[in-house]
Amino acid sequence: MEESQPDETLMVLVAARDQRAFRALMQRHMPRAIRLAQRIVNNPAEADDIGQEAFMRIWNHASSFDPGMARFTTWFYRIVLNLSFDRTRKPRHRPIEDAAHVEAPDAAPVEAIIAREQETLLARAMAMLPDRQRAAVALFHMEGLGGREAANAMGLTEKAFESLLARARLALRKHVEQADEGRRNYA
Amino acid sequence: MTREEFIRLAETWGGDIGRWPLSQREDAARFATTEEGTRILEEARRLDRLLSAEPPIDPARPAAAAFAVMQRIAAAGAGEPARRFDWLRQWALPAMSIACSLLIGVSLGAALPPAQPADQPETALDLILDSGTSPFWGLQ
Repeated sequence: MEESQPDETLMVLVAARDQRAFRALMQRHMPRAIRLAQRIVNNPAEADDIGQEAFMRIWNHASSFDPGMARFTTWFYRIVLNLSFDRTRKPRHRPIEDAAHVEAPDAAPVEAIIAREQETLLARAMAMLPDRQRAAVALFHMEGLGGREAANAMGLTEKAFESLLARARLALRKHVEQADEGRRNYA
Repeated sequence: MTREEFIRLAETWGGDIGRWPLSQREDAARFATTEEGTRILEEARRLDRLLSAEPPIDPARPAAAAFAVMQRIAAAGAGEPARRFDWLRQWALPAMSIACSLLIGVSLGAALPPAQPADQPETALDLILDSGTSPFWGLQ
């Protein structure tokens, strides 16, 4: 029954300490939390930690969520982003290659190679961006949020988000073009 | 919409006009039908495809993370019964002590009518040492 409830209804139940509702919420959004965190921190183990920590915060602060102020996903993305930014502020080792070595389970061999190459290229390009630009790209392109919702999740105005996204796309496009050029020269 | 404006929007929001700011979409859709508009959008879509790729995540990871969260909640919950009665220790016990003291005071006051006028200091002493109360408190 919980599976069909909207997020905001589940949150009311979570605030009343309903663990079934909380599990349903995690089942729905944990993959999203880990995916977004991994795009920003570029480290699978840290992304898993962030996913866990985000849901601990949701459990502990469920009563502070106000559906009249924001959608659950906006609040949730903001928690994941804050935790991710906290991690990236700490000096650490970034295993860019790790993410690229996980096989896509159903991909055909050639497609898997292309997907892996593209993932490596994207991971390298994203690693060069500042955190907030990386988050803007992840929210808009990977998560498919609209400009307004992504701006809300990042606590920015739409105009500021637009500028952030434009700078990120420009930098990524240059990086991809340079990589293509390098590949052509090598061939 | 000018060519430059169209390029700027495509470079910012990508090749799907449906995701551009609402106020720009109608003009942009007109420009998109031109040969140049189509080419600009196609170029933007190539970058979109790359950027929308999800990082490869083992499907077991979200389940493992969710399980770990439930374990942490259960571990935190094991300490809860002690906290559940914190209010009793903080408020109810002192309040009950005060209430008991008042009750004893009032019952004593009611049971022992003063033999002397209330404004004399001996009255308080008599309340305690009055012979009528002696059997209650001990040796006579």
